[in-house]
Amino acid sequence: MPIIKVKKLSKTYEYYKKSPGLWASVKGLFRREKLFTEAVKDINFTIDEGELVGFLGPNGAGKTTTLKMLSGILYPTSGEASVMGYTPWQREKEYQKQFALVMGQKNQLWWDLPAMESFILNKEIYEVPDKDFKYNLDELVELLGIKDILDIQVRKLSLGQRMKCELVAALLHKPRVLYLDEPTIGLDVIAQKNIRDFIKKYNRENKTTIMLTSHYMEDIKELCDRVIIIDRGIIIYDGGLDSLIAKYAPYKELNLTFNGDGVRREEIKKFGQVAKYEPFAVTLKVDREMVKDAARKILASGLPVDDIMIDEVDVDDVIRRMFNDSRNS
Amino acid sequence: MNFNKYLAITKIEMSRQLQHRFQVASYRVGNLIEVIIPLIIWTVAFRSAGVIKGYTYDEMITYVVVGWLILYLTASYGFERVLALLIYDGALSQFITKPISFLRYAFTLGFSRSLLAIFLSLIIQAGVIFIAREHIVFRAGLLDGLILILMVALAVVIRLFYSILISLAAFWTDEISGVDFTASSIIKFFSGAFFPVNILPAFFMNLSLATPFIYTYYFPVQIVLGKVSTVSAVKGLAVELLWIFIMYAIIKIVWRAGLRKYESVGI
Repeated sequence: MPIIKVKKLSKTYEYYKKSPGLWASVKGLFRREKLFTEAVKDINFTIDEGELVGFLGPNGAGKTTTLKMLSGILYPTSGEASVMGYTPWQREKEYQKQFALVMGQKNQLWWDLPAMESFILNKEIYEVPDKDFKYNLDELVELLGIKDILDIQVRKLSLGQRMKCELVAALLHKPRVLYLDEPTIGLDVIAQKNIRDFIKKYNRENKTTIMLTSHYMEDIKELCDRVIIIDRGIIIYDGGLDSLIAKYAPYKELNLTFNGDGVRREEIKKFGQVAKYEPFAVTLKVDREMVKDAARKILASGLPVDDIMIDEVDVDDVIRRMFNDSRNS
Repeated sequence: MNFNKYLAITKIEMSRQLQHRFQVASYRVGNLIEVIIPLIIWTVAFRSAGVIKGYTYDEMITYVVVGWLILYLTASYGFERVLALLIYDGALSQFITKPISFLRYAFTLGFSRSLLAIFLSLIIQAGVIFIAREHIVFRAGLLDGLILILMVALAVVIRLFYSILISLAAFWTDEISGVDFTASSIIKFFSGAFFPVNILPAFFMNLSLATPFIYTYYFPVQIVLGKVSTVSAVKGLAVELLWIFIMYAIIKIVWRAGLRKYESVGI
C-alpha cells in the first residue's frame, strides 16, 4: 500500500526579471517583465510505507520544491499528491502531527538556548504525552550519543552535533513520514557517517518512511535501495540503485598494478578499453560479462602483474553520464 | 485550543530573554533618558507660566512620568522586525508544517518577549515616580482605576496587533525597517508621547483620538489626571475594542494574502 502518492504534480514559479545596472532598476520601478520557471513538471511516483527513497539531482532540479509541496509549504500549480491519505497543502493538523521535515540548511532549534528547551517546545506543539516524550527522547539521545550536549546552548554546538539535535527535535513525535532535505550538508566525513548510520538504523527499527535528498552520493549509496533521479523538473530515473548501475554502466573496472618493467599501452589495450594508463598502474573498462575472462587472460599473458582488482564503476560517474544523456536527448 | 502549547512558548521565550538580560536591561537606561528629557523641557517651560494648555506643572509631570510608564507597558519592543525576519528568511516554513497557528504563535511570542522588559521598566519607572512623588497627581477613583487597567491591557493587544500587521509587509518587501521607523514616529506623535495632543489644533487632536494609539499613552493618562468622565472612559474602551476587532480582521486578510504569495513563491 503506497503511503505517498504523487500524480502529475507541477510547480511553476513566477518572478520578475531584474537586469543589472542602475538604469534598469529605475525602469523596473515602472515596468517589470514577468518570467516563469517550471521547477517541477508532471512528476509521478509512489512510495510504500517503510521505504527509504533517495531523491537525487543537481541544484535547482526540483528536489526541494517537491519536498516543500509534500510538506504543505507550497501549493502546486497543478497535479495531486496524497500522503497517508491527506492532501499536504491543506495542512490538516492530523497530517502535520504525523510527518516531519528537516532541512539541512535551516534550523528549527532555538539558537541561544540548550536544545532541550526546543525539544520541550516541540513536545507541546505536537501534543506528545509525557511518557512517550521521555521514552522517545531517551531512545534518540542514546542512538545518537548526545547525552552530554543537551544542556549546551545550540549556537555553541558543532554543525554535526546540531544536526543530531535537529533530528531529535523532528522525531520526538514519532512521525510516520520523514522528509530529509540535505541532512548531511556541510558536515565532515565522520559526522556524515554518523548521521547516515542513524538514519539507516532508525528507518529499519521504526519502519518510518523516509524521503531523502542529498548531493552526496555516499548518502544515497549507503542508505537507499531505491533512487528517484530528477533533472530540470523531470524524473529521469526511478528504480533500484543496482539496476541503475547495470543500465548506465554496462562495464566494470579492472584495476591492474604491475611490477618489473611495467607494461606498454599496446600490450594491454587488447584486453579492454584503457581508461587510465601509467606503466605500473592501468585501469581498463571491460563489459560486465567479460570481466572475469579478461582478468584470467591478463594473468595468463605473462605480463608482470602485481595485483588485480575488479571494481564497480563509481556511481557518481553513472549519474553524471545520465544527466548528460538526458540533456542531450 | 491547547493552552499548553502557548504556555511552552512563553516559557521558552522567557528563558531566552533571561539569557539576554544585560541587553534587555541596557535598553531600559535609554528609556530612562527618554523620560528625563521631557521632564527638563516642561520644568523650564513652566518657570514662566503657571498653566499651559490647561495643565498645571504637577499634572504635566504626571503626564510624562505615568504616560511613559504606560507606553513601556504597552510597547512591543521592535517585535515587528523579529517577526518580519522569520517571514523573510523562510523560517516561517517550519511553522506552516507544524500543528500550530502561526498568528497565535506570533501573538504569544510577542507578549512573552515583552515580559522581562515590562518588569524592568516597572521597577525603573517606580523609582522615577517615587522621586517625583510630590508632583504626581492621581485622581482616578476605584471604577476609573479598573477602566484604566482594562484600557492598558487592551492597548497591549493593540500594540501587538500593530507589530504583527507591520511585520506581514515582509511577504512583499525585503526590508521593513524604513516603513517601521516612519510608522513608529507617527504613532508616537498620535499617542501623545511627545506632548499632550490637546496642545495641537482641534483637527489633529480629533485625528489622534480616532487612532488606536491614543490608548497607549494620552487617553489612560487623562483618566489618571481625572480629566475625562467615566462615561467618556467607557466610550474609550468601546473604541479600543472596535479597533482591536478591525485590526484582527485586517491581520487575517493580509496574512491570507501573504500566505498565498509564500505558497506560490516559497520565498
